[in-house]
Amino acid sequence: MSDDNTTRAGLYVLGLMNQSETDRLEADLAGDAELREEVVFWQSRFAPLAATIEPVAPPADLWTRIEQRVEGLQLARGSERQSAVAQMQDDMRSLERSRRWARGLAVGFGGLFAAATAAAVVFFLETTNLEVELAQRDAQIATYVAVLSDESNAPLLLLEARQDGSLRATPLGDLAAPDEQTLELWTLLDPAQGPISLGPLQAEAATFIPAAQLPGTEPNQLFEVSLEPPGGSPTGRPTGPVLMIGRGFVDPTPAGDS
Amino acid sequence: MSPRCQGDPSVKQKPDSRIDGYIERIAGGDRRALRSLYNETSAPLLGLAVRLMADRAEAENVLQDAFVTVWQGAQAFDARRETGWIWLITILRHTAYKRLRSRGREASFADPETSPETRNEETAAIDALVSRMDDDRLKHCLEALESEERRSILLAYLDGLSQSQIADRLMAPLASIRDWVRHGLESLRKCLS
Repeated sequence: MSDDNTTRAGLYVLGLMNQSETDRLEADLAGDAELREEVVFWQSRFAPLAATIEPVAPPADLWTRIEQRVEGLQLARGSERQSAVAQMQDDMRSLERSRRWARGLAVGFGGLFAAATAAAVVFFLETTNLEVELAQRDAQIATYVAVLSDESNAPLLLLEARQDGSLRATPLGDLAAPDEQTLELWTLLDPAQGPISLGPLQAEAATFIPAAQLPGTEPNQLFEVSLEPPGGSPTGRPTGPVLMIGRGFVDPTPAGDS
Repeated sequence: MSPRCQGDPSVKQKPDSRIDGYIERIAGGDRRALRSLYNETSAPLLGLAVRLMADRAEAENVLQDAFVTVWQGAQAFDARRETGWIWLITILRHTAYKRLRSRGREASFADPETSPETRNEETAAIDALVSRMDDDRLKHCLEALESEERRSILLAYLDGLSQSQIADRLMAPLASIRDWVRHGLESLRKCLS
């Protein structure tokens, strides 16, 4: 171990670094195993100090607040499924039109038996189609997500990686950028490479980022949205204030739980 | 304090395998495990947060954020690298420091009218915590440090103070605090290795 790594890791664990020093160290952690070990060393060795502090009883409503936020995350996660259900309902209306057409056709053939058979066939097709399509949509629902929040921790943007490798960005709140400026999404996967633009965001609808534009999706990967001049950053790097931030994680919630 | 923590001698040592088990279940989407983890650890964690933030409402916000992070990030927990309890403390402290930095720690530091005597008493009290520690090795190594080095490190770790706040508390120049912390860390590292 180097003294420099020991000291840096110690200062980090003691919380004695300013924001830029913290950012630099966290960026270095990715490629420096010795530094990671030193951080874990200090975290572990200082931990017994925590046991000297008297416990404080949390208020009764604190768990409720946590539970509500966890539910909010799950709801955001479930919005995809709700969209799928809405689409299902559209499909059912379309199938209902087909059924009416089939009934009319059957009546046209002049036999009650034929009408019943046609209706049964349509019903079978309707059920089977829905089940198959629902299963297909479930398979498409992402397990890698990131929720980007503003300074007050309000969730504003949901990112979901899809099975085809693309990323879908869904606004969870009012994302309107002031004065025709652009909201631009960024990710940081490799600190040496710096932030990569994932392009401008639509304020009122989901934005799809194609797989080719994504450097990858890894746990704890940083995503940010910055405010940029109309059309996006002129430099290829964030130039305006960061409005929301979040990290990617693999959502443990099965899609069907939502 | 949660009923399960009150008077429970296991709290100080933290039954890590149980905590590890909860976190692994949380990683699988089990919200009941999150509740169990909260029941078991929220009181000691809130104690830490209150101490770090010196503000009860802020400490509750830190605890809230930390448990949401646990829910979101449980899959990143690796029981081979660290215990669940250390992982939880790390998340809590990380969350607390983020808030401390964003609110500007210099402005938030204690009442400027606190008398030097009171500051001395508060500082001496932190030494008493070391004597209550269960970990003999860390206790020995901390006690072997110069008192200024030990107090600088403890004020940072336990009270969430920045270097300039520590300088204020110890009534010493900022440059001295920097030296004490660095030298203290180097000595501790050698003693603990």
